Amino acid sequence: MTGAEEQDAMPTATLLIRRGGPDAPPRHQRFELRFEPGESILDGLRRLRIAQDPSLAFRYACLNANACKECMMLRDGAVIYACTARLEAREMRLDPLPNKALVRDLATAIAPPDERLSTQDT
Amino acid sequence: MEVAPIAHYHMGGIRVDTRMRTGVPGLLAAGEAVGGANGANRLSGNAITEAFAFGRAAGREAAAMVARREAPAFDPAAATAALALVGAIGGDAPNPAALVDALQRAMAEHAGPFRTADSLLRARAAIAALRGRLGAAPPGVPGLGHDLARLDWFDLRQMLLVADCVVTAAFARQESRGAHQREDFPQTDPAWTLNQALTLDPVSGQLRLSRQPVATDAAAAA
Repeated sequence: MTGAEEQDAMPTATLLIRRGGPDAPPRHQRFELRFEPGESILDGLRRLRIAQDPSLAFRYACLNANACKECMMLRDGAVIYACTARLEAREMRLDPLPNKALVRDLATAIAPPDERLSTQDT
Repeated sequence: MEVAPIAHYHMGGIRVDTRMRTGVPGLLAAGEAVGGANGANRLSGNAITEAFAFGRAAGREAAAMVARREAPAFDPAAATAALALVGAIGGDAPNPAALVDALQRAMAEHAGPFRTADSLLRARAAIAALRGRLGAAPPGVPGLGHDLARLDWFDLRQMLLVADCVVTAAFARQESRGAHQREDFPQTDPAWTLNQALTLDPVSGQLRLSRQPVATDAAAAA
């Protein structure tokens, strides 16, 4: 098997990601990632920013330590932490938390309003 | 299961006095941001202890400053350059997330716990190349919520300075001690029982390296 054929045979993780801010009509953008067993969805999202689109917005802080809870989002409609949910070799749909104000893409305003430094950027 | 080492603590940091005061009037520092509390190697678990112990000292000093009605003088002129950068529009840096990743890879490969003069020179070259690619202004515009590309650019700017500090100090210290293992100087050298301090020259932008003694028991008894 040649290198190219091996690459073709590599499984792919497809992420269908909600893009845009609160004023734009909802749309989803499809990203394909080389699937690597063991990676978290957060690992995949960070790889997307490095290799494909640095403008993709999502929250994270503790980097897979399951401590900060910043990366809470919806996968296929169910709430997950992106750092504990595994990337899978299939299509997964990612949406921002529906009960929080949307900032952009997968990032929502998660701090209580009276704890924010400014109302503009949360 | 895949297992790999990661950087999870930084032993270098800001120089403070025993009241946690920095060289900037009114600015206190405590915890991992401060250098020196752990010597040449940190024992696992000491970071929280350090944050609590020195955080208490910093809190007491902050309260005392308020009680003394000690307001640090703020010079708006000194902030001009930084404010201009924060408000800058549309730099043309390549993908800042990819540049951050490149710096992390270069430092992990060339400036990890095991280093040599050659590897540190490679790290220095990588830092210089990334500085060139960073450009003079952040991408995007100010005010967009959670703009990770723009935040990455500012992060990378500071990460390059920290990386430069790490490499400069590690290159100068021609011995092995604690978490600093120079494979070209594998022995601990008693002559290196000292701290290195780095100062950023505000005019030239260059780092200046100096040495200062460590307070040993012998020195304290003398």
